[in-house]
Amino acid sequence: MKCPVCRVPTYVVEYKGIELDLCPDCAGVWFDRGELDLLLPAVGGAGLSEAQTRENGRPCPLCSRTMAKMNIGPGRRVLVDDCPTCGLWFDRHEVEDLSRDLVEHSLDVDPALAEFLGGMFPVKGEDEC
Amino acid sequence: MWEQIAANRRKSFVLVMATAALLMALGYSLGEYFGGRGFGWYGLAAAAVVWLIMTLISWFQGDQVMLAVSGAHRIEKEDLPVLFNVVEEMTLAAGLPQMPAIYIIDDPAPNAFATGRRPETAAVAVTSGLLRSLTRDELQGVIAHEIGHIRNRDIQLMLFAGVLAGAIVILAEVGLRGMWFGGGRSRSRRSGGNESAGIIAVIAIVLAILAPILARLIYFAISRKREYLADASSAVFTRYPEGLASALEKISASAQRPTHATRATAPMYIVDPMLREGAMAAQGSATHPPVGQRIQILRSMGGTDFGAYQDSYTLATGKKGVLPPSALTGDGGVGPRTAATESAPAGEASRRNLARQVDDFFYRKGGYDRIPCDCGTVLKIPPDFQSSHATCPRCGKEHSLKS
Repeated sequence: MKCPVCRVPTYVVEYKGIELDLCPDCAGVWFDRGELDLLLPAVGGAGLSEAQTRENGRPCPLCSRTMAKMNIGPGRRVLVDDCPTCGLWFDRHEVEDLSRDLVEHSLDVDPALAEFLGGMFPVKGEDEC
Repeated sequence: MWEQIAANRRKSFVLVMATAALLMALGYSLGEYFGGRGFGWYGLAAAAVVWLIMTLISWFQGDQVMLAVSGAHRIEKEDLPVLFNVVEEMTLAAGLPQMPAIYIIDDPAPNAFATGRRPETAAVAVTSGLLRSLTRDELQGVIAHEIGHIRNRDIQLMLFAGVLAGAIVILAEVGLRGMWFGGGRSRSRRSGGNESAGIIAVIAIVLAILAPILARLIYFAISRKREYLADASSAVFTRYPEGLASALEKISASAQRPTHATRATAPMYIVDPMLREGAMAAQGSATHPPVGQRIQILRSMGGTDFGAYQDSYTLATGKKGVLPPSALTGDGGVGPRTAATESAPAGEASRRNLARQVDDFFYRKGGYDRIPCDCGTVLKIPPDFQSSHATCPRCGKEHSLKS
Protein backbone atom coordinates (compact mmCIF):
# COMPACT_ATOMS: atom_id res chain seq x y z
CA MET A 1 0.00 0.00 0.00
CA LYS A 2 1.19 3.53 -0.72
CA CYS A 3 0.58 6.56 1.46
CA PRO A 4 -2.19 8.67 -0.14
CA VAL A 5 -0.27 11.84 0.80
CA CYS A 6 3.42 11.06 0.19
CA ARG A 7 2.99 8.13 -2.26
CA VAL A 8 5.71 6.09 -0.55
CA PRO A 9 5.18 2.47 0.52
CA THR A 10 3.69 2.20 4.00
CA TYR A 11 4.54 -0.34 6.68
CA VAL A 12 2.24 -2.31 8.93
CA VAL A 13 2.09 -2.29 12.71
CA GLU A 14 0.27 -5.02 14.57
CA TYR A 15 -0.69 -4.52 18.20
CA LYS A 16 -3.12 -6.61 20.24
CA GLY A 17 -4.45 -8.30 17.14
CA ILE A 18 -5.24 -5.03 15.40
CA GLU A 19 -3.30 -3.92 12.37
CA LEU A 20 -2.70 -0.45 11.01
CA ASP A 21 -0.73 0.89 8.07
CA LEU A 22 1.66 3.74 8.77
CA CYS A 23 3.48 6.12 6.48
CA PRO A 24 7.19 6.40 7.35
CA ASP A 25 7.35 9.97 6.05
CA CYS A 26 4.24 11.77 7.25
CA ALA A 27 3.23 9.38 10.09
CA GLY A 28 -0.33 9.18 8.77
CA VAL A 29 -2.34 6.12 9.77
CA TRP A 30 -4.66 3.92 7.72
CA PHE A 31 -7.54 2.05 9.39
CA ASP A 32 -8.87 -0.78 7.28
CA ARG A 33 -12.63 -1.44 7.12
CA GLY A 34 -12.15 -4.43 9.42
CA GLU A 35 -10.42 -2.34 12.07
CA LEU A 36 -13.03 0.37 11.67
CA ASP A 37 -15.81 -2.00 12.66
CA LEU A 38 -14.19 -1.87 16.06
CA LEU A 39 -13.58 1.86 16.04
CA LEU A 40 -16.79 3.31 14.64
CA PRO A 41 -19.31 1.92 17.15
CA ALA A 42 -17.07 3.26 19.92
CA VAL A 43 -17.10 6.74 18.46
CA GLY A 44 -20.80 7.00 19.14
CA GLY A 45 -23.88 7.12 16.99
CA ALA A 46 -22.66 10.21 15.23
CA GLY A 47 -19.73 8.36 13.72
CA LEU A 48 -18.81 10.19 10.57
CA SER A 49 -20.33 13.37 9.25
CA GLU A 50 -19.60 15.30 6.12
CA ALA A 51 -17.03 18.01 6.70
CA GLN A 52 -17.08 21.58 5.43
CA THR A 53 -13.60 22.02 4.05
CA ARG A 54 -11.74 23.25 1.04
CA GLU A 55 -9.09 20.56 1.24
CA ASN A 56 -8.92 18.44 -1.84
CA GLY A 57 -10.01 14.81 -1.68
CA ARG A 58 -7.18 12.30 -1.78
CA PRO A 59 -7.24 9.03 -3.66
CA CYS A 60 -7.97 5.93 -1.59
CA PRO A 61 -4.72 3.96 -1.17
CA LEU A 62 -6.51 0.70 -2.00
CA CYS A 63 -9.11 1.42 -4.68
CA SER A 64 -7.84 4.85 -5.92
CA ARG A 65 -11.29 6.41 -5.79
CA THR A 66 -11.39 9.89 -4.30
CA MET A 67 -12.00 9.77 -0.56
CA ALA A 68 -14.50 12.05 1.15
CA LYS A 69 -13.47 14.53 3.85
CA MET A 70 -15.29 13.57 7.00
CA ASN A 71 -15.47 14.71 10.61
CA ILE A 72 -15.19 11.94 13.14
CA GLY A 73 -15.96 11.81 16.84
CA PRO A 74 -18.39 13.59 19.14
CA GLY A 75 -16.56 16.93 18.93
CA ARG A 76 -16.44 16.85 15.12
CA ARG A 77 -12.99 18.36 15.25
CA VAL A 78 -11.02 15.59 13.67
CA LEU A 79 -10.94 15.65 9.90
CA VAL A 80 -10.27 12.34 8.19
CA ASP A 81 -10.35 10.95 4.66
CA ASP A 82 -13.00 8.30 4.20
CA CYS A 83 -13.28 5.63 1.54
CA PRO A 84 -16.69 4.03 2.12
CA THR A 85 -15.52 0.63 0.89
CA CYS A 86 -11.89 0.45 2.05
CA GLY A 87 -11.16 2.44 5.21
CA LEU A 88 -10.12 5.71 6.85
CA TRP A 89 -6.94 7.77 6.65
CA PHE A 90 -5.83 9.80 9.68
CA ASP A 91 -3.12 12.42 9.27
CA ARG A 92 -0.37 12.64 11.87
CA HIS A 93 -1.75 13.14 15.42
CA GLU A 94 -5.34 12.91 14.30
CA VAL A 95 -5.78 9.58 16.08
CA GLU A 96 -4.52 11.20 19.30
CA ASP A 97 -6.91 14.10 18.69
CA LEU A 98 -9.74 11.63 18.37
CA SER A 99 -8.76 9.86 21.62
CA ARG A 100 -8.65 13.21 23.40
CA ASP A 101 -12.03 14.08 21.96
CA LEU A 102 -13.45 10.79 23.19
CA VAL A 103 -12.06 11.35 26.66
CA GLU A 104 -13.40 14.90 26.83
CA HIS A 105 -16.86 13.76 25.94
CA SER A 106 -16.40 10.95 28.44
CA LEU A 107 -17.88 8.38 26.12
CA ASP A 108 -17.98 4.78 27.12
CA VAL A 109 -15.26 3.47 24.92
CA ASP A 110 -14.88 -0.25 24.38
CA PRO A 111 -12.08 -1.16 26.84
CA ALA A 112 -10.21 -3.13 24.18
CA LEU A 113 -10.27 -0.09 21.93
CA ALA A 114 -9.29 2.31 24.69
CA GLU A 115 -6.37 0.09 25.59
CA PHE A 116 -5.34 -0.17 21.99
CA LEU A 117 -5.61 3.54 21.23
CA GLY A 118 -3.94 4.52 24.51
CA GLY A 119 -1.15 2.02 23.99
CA MET A 120 -0.58 2.69 20.35
CA PHE A 121 -1.12 6.43 20.29
CA PRO A 122 -0.47 7.78 23.79
CA VAL A 123 -1.94 11.25 24.14
CA LYS A 124 1.02 13.53 24.65
CA GLY A 125 1.30 17.15 25.68
CA GLU A 126 0.64 19.84 23.12
CA ASP A 127 4.31 20.81 22.97
CA GLU A 128 5.26 17.58 21.25
CA CYS A 129 4.67 18.68 17.71
CA MET B 1 -29.88 -38.00 -0.29
CA TRP B 2 -28.55 -40.60 -2.68
CA GLU B 3 -31.69 -40.36 -4.73
CA GLN B 4 -31.01 -36.68 -5.31
CA ILE B 5 -27.42 -37.49 -6.22
CA ALA B 6 -28.57 -40.07 -8.77
CA ALA B 7 -31.08 -37.55 -10.07
CA ASN B 8 -28.25 -35.08 -10.39
CA ARG B 9 -26.35 -37.56 -12.54
CA ARG B 10 -29.35 -38.02 -14.81
CA LYS B 11 -29.78 -34.30 -15.01
CA SER B 12 -26.10 -33.91 -15.77
CA PHE B 13 -26.55 -36.23 -18.72
CA VAL B 14 -29.64 -34.49 -20.06
CA LEU B 15 -28.01 -31.14 -19.56
CA VAL B 16 -24.89 -32.11 -21.44
CA MET B 17 -26.96 -33.54 -24.28
CA ALA B 18 -29.15 -30.46 -24.56
CA THR B 19 -26.21 -28.13 -24.51
CA ALA B 20 -24.33 -30.27 -27.01
CA ALA B 21 -27.34 -30.31 -29.34
CA LEU B 22 -27.49 -26.55 -29.12
CA LEU B 23 -23.80 -26.30 -29.92
CA MET B 24 -24.17 -28.62 -32.93
CA ALA B 25 -27.15 -26.69 -34.28
CA LEU B 26 -25.20 -23.49 -33.93
CA GLY B 27 -22.18 -25.02 -35.69
CA TYR B 28 -24.34 -26.35 -38.52
CA SER B 29 -26.15 -23.10 -39.18
CA LEU B 30 -22.96 -21.07 -39.06
CA GLY B 31 -21.35 -23.51 -41.50
CA GLU B 32 -24.26 -23.09 -43.90
CA TYR B 33 -24.14 -19.35 -43.49
CA PHE B 34 -20.44 -18.85 -44.07
CA GLY B 35 -19.63 -21.78 -46.34
CA GLY B 36 -22.76 -21.87 -48.45
CA ARG B 37 -24.99 -24.84 -49.16
CA GLY B 38 -23.73 -28.17 -47.87
CA PHE B 39 -21.08 -26.68 -45.64
CA GLY B 40 -23.27 -27.15 -42.59
CA TRP B 41 -21.68 -30.49 -41.80
CA TYR B 42 -18.23 -28.91 -41.80
CA GLY B 43 -19.50 -26.28 -39.41
CA LEU B 44 -20.95 -29.00 -37.23
CA ALA B 45 -17.64 -30.85 -37.28
CA ALA B 46 -15.77 -27.68 -36.35
CA ALA B 47 -18.16 -27.09 -33.46
CA ALA B 48 -17.67 -30.70 -32.35
CA VAL B 49 -13.91 -30.27 -32.37
CA VAL B 50 -14.14 -27.06 -30.34
CA TRP B 51 -16.42 -28.85 -27.91
CA LEU B 52 -14.17 -31.89 -27.66
CA ILE B 53 -11.08 -29.83 -26.97
CA MET B 54 -12.82 -27.67 -24.38
CA THR B 55 -14.38 -30.71 -22.75
CA LEU B 56 -11.06 -32.49 -22.53
CA ILE B 57 -9.48 -29.40 -21.04
CA SER B 58 -12.30 -29.05 -18.55
CA TRP B 59 -12.10 -32.71 -17.62
CA PHE B 60 -8.40 -32.77 -17.00
CA GLN B 61 -7.69 -29.19 -16.11
CA GLY B 62 -11.07 -27.55 -15.58
CA ASP B 63 -10.75 -27.03 -11.86
CA GLN B 64 -7.26 -25.67 -12.34
CA VAL B 65 -8.48 -23.28 -15.04
CA MET B 66 -11.35 -22.15 -12.86
CA LEU B 67 -9.00 -21.56 -9.94
CA ALA B 68 -6.44 -19.80 -12.12
CA VAL B 69 -9.13 -17.51 -13.54
CA SER B 70 -10.14 -16.65 -9.99
CA GLY B 71 -6.52 -15.96 -8.97
CA ALA B 72 -6.49 -18.58 -6.20
CA HIS B 73 -3.50 -19.58 -4.05
CA ARG B 74 -3.21 -23.12 -2.70
CA ILE B 75 -2.75 -23.20 1.06
CA GLU B 76 -1.38 -25.81 3.45
CA LYS B 77 -2.03 -26.40 7.12
CA GLU B 78 0.78 -24.18 8.37
CA ASP B 79 -0.46 -21.25 6.28
CA LEU B 80 -3.93 -20.99 7.78
CA PRO B 81 -4.42 -23.53 10.57
CA VAL B 82 -7.94 -22.37 11.47
CA LEU B 83 -9.28 -22.72 7.94
CA PHE B 84 -7.50 -26.03 7.49
CA ASN B 85 -9.01 -27.44 10.68
CA VAL B 86 -12.51 -26.35 9.73
CA VAL B 87 -12.21 -28.04 6.33
CA GLU B 88 -10.83 -31.15 8.02
CA GLU B 89 -13.77 -31.31 10.47
CA MET B 90 -16.37 -30.84 7.76
CA THR B 91 -14.72 -33.44 5.51
CA LEU B 92 -15.12 -35.93 8.35
CA ALA B 93 -18.69 -34.83 9.09
CA ALA B 94 -19.65 -35.27 5.44
CA GLY B 95 -17.83 -38.59 5.13
CA LEU B 96 -15.90 -37.49 2.06
CA PRO B 97 -13.18 -39.95 1.00
CA GLN B 98 -10.57 -37.23 0.93
CA MET B 99 -10.06 -33.70 2.11
CA PRO B 100 -10.50 -31.17 -0.71
CA ALA B 101 -7.60 -28.92 -1.63
CA ILE B 102 -7.98 -25.49 -0.10
CA TYR B 103 -7.47 -22.29 -2.06
CA ILE B 104 -7.63 -18.70 -1.02
CA ILE B 105 -8.43 -15.79 -3.34
CA ASP B 106 -7.16 -12.37 -2.35
CA ASP B 107 -10.37 -10.45 -2.74
CA PRO B 108 -12.03 -8.14 -0.18
CA ALA B 109 -15.53 -9.33 -1.08
CA PRO B 110 -16.57 -12.28 1.10
CA ASN B 111 -17.50 -15.36 -0.91
CA ALA B 112 -16.65 -19.03 -1.43
CA PHE B 113 -17.01 -21.81 -3.99
CA ALA B 114 -16.20 -25.46 -4.56
CA THR B 115 -14.94 -27.02 -7.76
CA GLY B 116 -13.33 -30.17 -9.14
CA ARG B 117 -14.52 -33.10 -11.18
CA ARG B 118 -14.74 -35.77 -8.46
CA PRO B 119 -15.03 -35.68 -4.67
CA GLU B 120 -11.51 -37.13 -4.56
CA THR B 121 -9.96 -34.23 -6.44
CA ALA B 122 -12.24 -31.44 -5.33
CA ALA B 123 -11.16 -28.00 -4.21
CA VAL B 124 -12.71 -25.41 -1.96
CA ALA B 125 -11.86 -21.77 -2.55
CA VAL B 126 -12.63 -18.90 -0.21
CA THR B 127 -11.88 -15.21 -0.56
CA SER B 128 -9.66 -13.43 1.94
CA GLY B 129 -12.58 -11.06 2.56
CA LEU B 130 -14.67 -14.01 3.73
CA LEU B 131 -12.00 -15.16 6.16
CA ARG B 132 -11.57 -11.63 7.46
CA SER B 133 -15.24 -11.07 8.20
CA LEU B 134 -16.48 -14.39 9.59
CA THR B 135 -16.22 -16.00 13.00
CA ARG B 136 -15.15 -19.62 13.23
CA ASP B 137 -18.74 -20.88 13.53
CA GLU B 138 -19.80 -18.89 10.49
CA LEU B 139 -16.82 -20.09 8.49
CA GLN B 140 -17.72 -23.65 9.45
CA GLY B 141 -21.23 -23.13 8.07
CA VAL B 142 -19.89 -21.83 4.75
CA ILE B 143 -17.29 -24.59 4.39
CA ALA B 144 -19.95 -27.20 5.21
CA HIS B 145 -22.15 -25.73 2.44
CA GLU B 146 -19.28 -26.06 -0.06
CA ILE B 147 -18.45 -29.57 1.17
CA GLY B 148 -22.16 -30.29 0.70
CA HIS B 149 -21.79 -29.30 -2.98
CA ILE B 150 -18.86 -31.69 -3.28
CA ARG B 151 -20.63 -34.58 -1.59
CA ASN B 152 -23.82 -34.01 -3.60
CA ARG B 153 -21.70 -34.13 -6.74
CA ASP B 154 -22.81 -30.71 -7.89
CA ILE B 155 -19.35 -29.53 -8.72
CA GLN B 156 -18.51 -31.70 -11.72
CA LEU B 157 -21.75 -30.72 -13.39
CA MET B 158 -21.19 -27.03 -12.76
CA LEU B 159 -17.72 -27.27 -14.19
CA PHE B 160 -18.75 -29.28 -17.22
CA ALA B 161 -21.79 -27.15 -17.96
CA GLY B 162 -19.80 -23.97 -17.47
CA VAL B 163 -17.25 -24.97 -20.08
CA LEU B 164 -19.91 -26.13 -22.52
CA ALA B 165 -21.81 -22.90 -22.18
CA GLY B 166 -18.46 -21.17 -22.67
CA ALA B 167 -17.93 -23.01 -25.99
CA ILE B 168 -21.33 -21.86 -27.21
CA VAL B 169 -20.67 -18.29 -26.17
CA ILE B 170 -17.33 -18.27 -27.99
CA LEU B 171 -18.74 -19.82 -31.17
CA ALA B 172 -21.72 -17.46 -31.25
CA GLU B 173 -19.49 -14.48 -30.64
CA VAL B 174 -17.15 -15.45 -33.50
CA GLY B 175 -20.14 -16.12 -35.76
CA LEU B 176 -21.83 -12.80 -35.00
CA ARG B 177 -18.63 -10.87 -35.56
CA GLY B 178 -18.15 -12.67 -38.87
CA MET B 179 -21.65 -11.69 -39.96
CA TRP B 180 -21.19 -8.12 -38.81
CA PHE B 181 -18.09 -7.68 -40.92
CA GLY B 182 -19.86 -9.09 -43.95
CA GLY B 183 -18.24 -12.50 -44.23
CA GLY B 184 -20.10 -15.47 -45.63
CA ARG B 185 -20.01 -16.77 -49.13
CA SER B 186 -23.78 -16.94 -49.31
CA ARG B 187 -23.98 -13.21 -49.60
CA SER B 188 -21.23 -12.65 -52.17
CA ARG B 189 -22.02 -15.59 -54.39
CA ARG B 190 -25.71 -15.19 -54.63
CA SER B 191 -25.99 -11.48 -54.45
CA GLY B 192 -29.68 -11.58 -55.31
CA GLY B 193 -30.15 -14.02 -52.46
CA ASN B 194 -32.45 -16.96 -53.01
CA GLU B 195 -34.96 -17.88 -50.42
CA SER B 196 -33.21 -20.78 -48.71
CA ALA B 197 -30.02 -18.75 -48.20
CA GLY B 198 -32.11 -16.04 -46.62
CA ILE B 199 -33.76 -18.51 -44.28
CA ILE B 200 -30.40 -19.98 -43.31
CA ALA B 201 -29.04 -16.53 -42.61
CA VAL B 202 -32.00 -15.75 -40.36
CA ILE B 203 -31.65 -19.07 -38.54
CA ALA B 204 -27.91 -18.56 -38.10
CA ILE B 205 -28.37 -15.06 -36.73
CA VAL B 206 -31.19 -16.05 -34.40
CA LEU B 207 -29.22 -19.05 -33.13
CA ALA B 208 -26.06 -17.04 -32.64
CA ILE B 209 -28.01 -14.57 -30.51
CA LEU B 210 -30.20 -17.03 -28.63
CA ALA B 211 -27.84 -19.96 -28.09
CA PRO B 212 -25.67 -18.27 -25.45
CA ILE B 213 -28.75 -17.13 -23.54
CA LEU B 214 -30.31 -20.58 -23.79
CA ALA B 215 -27.08 -22.27 -22.70
CA ARG B 216 -26.98 -20.02 -19.65
CA LEU B 217 -30.60 -20.75 -18.81
CA ILE B 218 -30.02 -24.50 -18.93
CA TYR B 219 -26.99 -23.96 -16.79
CA PHE B 220 -28.96 -22.02 -14.19
CA ALA B 221 -32.00 -24.27 -14.19
CA ILE B 222 -30.59 -26.82 -11.82
CA SER B 223 -28.43 -24.71 -9.59
CA ARG B 224 -31.26 -23.28 -7.47
CA LYS B 225 -32.31 -26.57 -5.96
CA ARG B 226 -28.70 -27.45 -5.33
CA GLU B 227 -28.27 -24.41 -3.16
CA TYR B 228 -31.06 -25.55 -0.85
CA LEU B 229 -29.64 -29.05 -0.63
CA ALA B 230 -26.18 -27.66 0.15
CA ASP B 231 -27.68 -25.40 2.85
CA ALA B 232 -29.47 -28.40 4.36
CA SER B 233 -26.23 -30.40 4.21
CA SER B 234 -24.42 -27.58 6.00
CA ALA B 235 -26.96 -27.61 8.82
CA VAL B 236 -26.60 -31.37 9.14
CA PHE B 237 -22.81 -31.42 9.05
CA THR B 238 -22.34 -28.57 11.53
CA ARG B 239 -25.45 -29.26 13.66
CA TYR B 240 -25.60 -25.49 13.95
CA PRO B 241 -27.69 -23.81 11.20
CA GLU B 242 -27.18 -20.39 12.76
CA GLY B 243 -23.52 -20.44 11.68
CA LEU B 244 -24.39 -20.49 7.98
CA ALA B 245 -27.39 -18.20 8.48
CA SER B 246 -25.33 -15.45 10.04
CA ALA B 247 -22.53 -15.97 7.50
CA LEU B 248 -25.02 -15.55 4.64
CA GLU B 249 -26.28 -12.40 6.31
CA LYS B 250 -22.76 -10.96 6.44
CA ILE B 251 -21.91 -12.02 2.91
CA SER B 252 -25.06 -10.57 1.39
CA ALA B 253 -24.76 -7.35 3.37
CA SER B 254 -21.27 -6.79 2.03
CA ALA B 255 -21.13 -3.97 -0.45
CA GLN B 256 -18.27 -5.52 -2.36
CA ARG B 257 -18.50 -8.00 -5.17
CA PRO B 258 -15.62 -10.31 -6.01
CA THR B 259 -13.52 -8.64 -8.65
CA HIS B 260 -12.58 -11.97 -10.18
CA ALA B 261 -16.11 -13.27 -10.58
CA THR B 262 -17.37 -13.55 -14.13
CA ARG B 263 -20.73 -14.67 -15.43
CA ALA B 264 -19.30 -18.13 -16.01
CA THR B 265 -18.03 -18.58 -12.46
CA ALA B 266 -20.93 -16.78 -10.75
CA PRO B 267 -23.12 -19.84 -10.11
CA MET B 268 -20.26 -21.46 -8.22
CA TYR B 269 -20.22 -18.92 -5.41
CA ILE B 270 -22.17 -19.35 -2.19
CA VAL B 271 -23.95 -16.04 -2.76
CA ASP B 272 -24.39 -14.78 -6.32
CA PRO B 273 -21.53 -12.31 -6.86
CA MET B 274 -23.08 -10.65 -9.90
CA LEU B 275 -25.93 -9.04 -8.02
CA ARG B 276 -25.93 -5.42 -7.04
CA GLU B 277 -26.49 -4.48 -3.43
CA GLY B 278 -30.07 -4.40 -2.28
CA ALA B 279 -31.41 -6.49 -5.11
CA MET B 280 -29.79 -9.49 -3.46
CA ALA B 281 -31.98 -9.99 -0.42
CA ALA B 282 -35.07 -9.02 -2.32
CA GLN B 283 -35.44 -11.53 -5.11
CA GLY B 284 -32.37 -13.67 -5.40
CA SER B 285 -31.09 -14.44 -8.86
CA ALA B 286 -31.22 -16.96 -11.65
CA THR B 287 -28.53 -19.08 -10.02
CA HIS B 288 -29.26 -18.61 -6.35
CA PRO B 289 -32.43 -18.53 -4.28
CA PRO B 290 -33.08 -15.32 -2.34
CA VAL B 291 -30.60 -15.06 0.50
CA GLY B 292 -33.20 -13.69 2.90
CA GLN B 293 -35.28 -16.78 2.38
CA ARG B 294 -32.32 -19.12 2.79
CA ILE B 295 -31.49 -17.42 6.10
CA GLN B 296 -35.09 -17.62 7.26
CA ILE B 297 -35.28 -21.34 6.50
CA LEU B 298 -32.05 -22.02 8.39
CA ARG B 299 -33.12 -19.94 11.39
CA SER B 300 -36.52 -21.58 11.81
CA MET B 301 -35.23 -25.14 11.68
CA GLY B 302 -36.53 -27.20 14.60
CA GLY B 303 -33.62 -29.62 14.54
CA THR B 304 -30.53 -30.22 12.49
CA ASP B 305 -31.53 -33.02 10.18
CA PHE B 306 -32.82 -32.91 6.63
CA GLY B 307 -36.39 -33.32 7.86
CA ALA B 308 -36.16 -30.15 9.93
CA TYR B 309 -34.84 -28.28 6.91
CA GLN B 310 -37.64 -29.63 4.75
CA ASP B 311 -40.31 -28.55 7.27
CA SER B 312 -38.78 -25.14 7.63
CA TYR B 313 -38.59 -24.77 3.84
CA THR B 314 -42.26 -25.63 3.49
CA LEU B 315 -43.12 -23.15 6.22
CA ALA B 316 -41.14 -20.37 4.56
CA THR B 317 -42.17 -20.90 0.94
CA GLY B 318 -45.42 -22.78 1.15
CA LYS B 319 -43.89 -25.30 -1.26
CA LYS B 320 -43.04 -28.91 -0.72
CA GLY B 321 -40.30 -31.23 -1.74
CA VAL B 322 -37.11 -29.26 -1.92
CA LEU B 323 -35.25 -32.31 -0.71
CA PRO B 324 -35.63 -35.85 -2.01
CA PRO B 325 -37.69 -38.17 0.25
CA SER B 326 -34.72 -40.45 0.89
CA ALA B 327 -32.78 -37.64 2.53
CA LEU B 328 -35.54 -37.29 5.08
CA THR B 329 -35.40 -40.83 6.37
CA GLY B 330 -31.66 -41.32 6.24
CA ASP B 331 -28.73 -40.03 8.22
CA GLY B 332 -28.24 -36.87 10.21
CA GLY B 333 -30.48 -37.68 13.15
CA VAL B 334 -28.18 -36.05 15.70
CA GLY B 335 -29.68 -33.27 17.77
CA PRO B 336 -28.62 -29.66 17.46
CA ARG B 337 -25.74 -28.31 19.45
CA THR B 338 -27.38 -27.01 22.59
CA ALA B 339 -25.68 -23.66 22.41
CA ALA B 340 -23.34 -21.73 20.24
CA THR B 341 -19.75 -22.77 20.81
CA GLU B 342 -18.87 -19.13 20.72
CA SER B 343 -20.19 -16.29 22.80
CA ALA B 344 -20.25 -12.94 21.02
CA PRO B 345 -16.83 -11.73 22.30
CA ALA B 346 -15.32 -15.16 21.65
CA GLY B 347 -16.74 -15.02 18.14
CA GLU B 348 -15.15 -11.63 17.61
CA ALA B 349 -11.84 -12.96 18.95
CA SER B 350 -11.99 -15.94 16.61
CA ARG B 351 -12.72 -13.59 13.72
CA ARG B 352 -9.69 -11.44 14.57
CA ASN B 353 -7.50 -14.51 14.90
CA LEU B 354 -8.62 -15.76 11.51
CA ALA B 355 -8.17 -12.35 9.91
CA ARG B 356 -4.65 -12.13 11.32
CA GLN B 357 -3.76 -15.54 9.89
CA VAL B 358 -5.04 -14.47 6.48
CA ASP B 359 -3.08 -11.24 6.57
CA ASP B 360 0.07 -13.01 7.66
CA PHE B 361 -0.34 -15.51 4.83
CA PHE B 362 -0.41 -12.71 2.28
CA TYR B 363 2.43 -10.87 4.00
CA ARG B 364 4.58 -14.00 3.69
CA LYS B 365 3.52 -14.40 0.06
CA GLY B 366 4.35 -10.76 -0.55
CA GLY B 367 7.83 -11.04 0.98
CA TYR B 368 7.21 -8.80 3.99
CA ASP B 369 9.80 -8.64 6.79
CA ARG B 370 8.48 -9.26 10.30
CA ILE B 371 10.12 -7.21 13.05
CA PRO B 372 8.82 -7.80 16.58
CA CYS B 373 9.31 -4.75 18.79
CA ASP B 374 10.12 -5.10 22.51
CA CYS B 375 7.01 -3.13 23.43
CA GLY B 376 4.67 -5.80 22.07
CA THR B 377 3.98 -4.54 18.57
CA VAL B 378 5.04 -6.28 15.39
CA LEU B 379 6.21 -4.23 12.43
CA LYS B 380 5.70 -5.69 8.97
CA ILE B 381 7.86 -4.12 6.32
CA PRO B 382 7.02 -4.47 2.61
CA PRO B 383 9.80 -5.48 0.20
CA ASP B 384 9.59 -2.16 -1.65
CA PHE B 385 9.95 -0.09 1.55
CA GLN B 386 12.15 2.92 0.88
CA SER B 387 13.38 4.12 4.28
CA SER B 388 16.33 2.47 6.00
CA HIS B 389 14.47 2.35 9.30
CA ALA B 390 10.94 2.06 10.61
CA THR B 391 9.61 3.62 13.80
CA CYS B 392 7.44 1.75 16.24
CA PRO B 393 4.57 4.19 16.90
CA ARG B 394 4.01 2.76 20.38
CA CYS B 395 7.42 3.11 22.03
CA GLY B 396 9.09 5.29 19.46
CA LYS B 397 11.96 2.86 18.94
CA GLU B 398 13.65 3.04 15.56
CA HIS B 399 14.30 -0.31 13.95
CA SER B 400 16.97 -0.25 11.31
CA LEU B 401 16.27 -2.49 8.35
CA LYS B 402 18.71 -4.78 6.63
CA SER B 403 19.54 -3.34 3.22
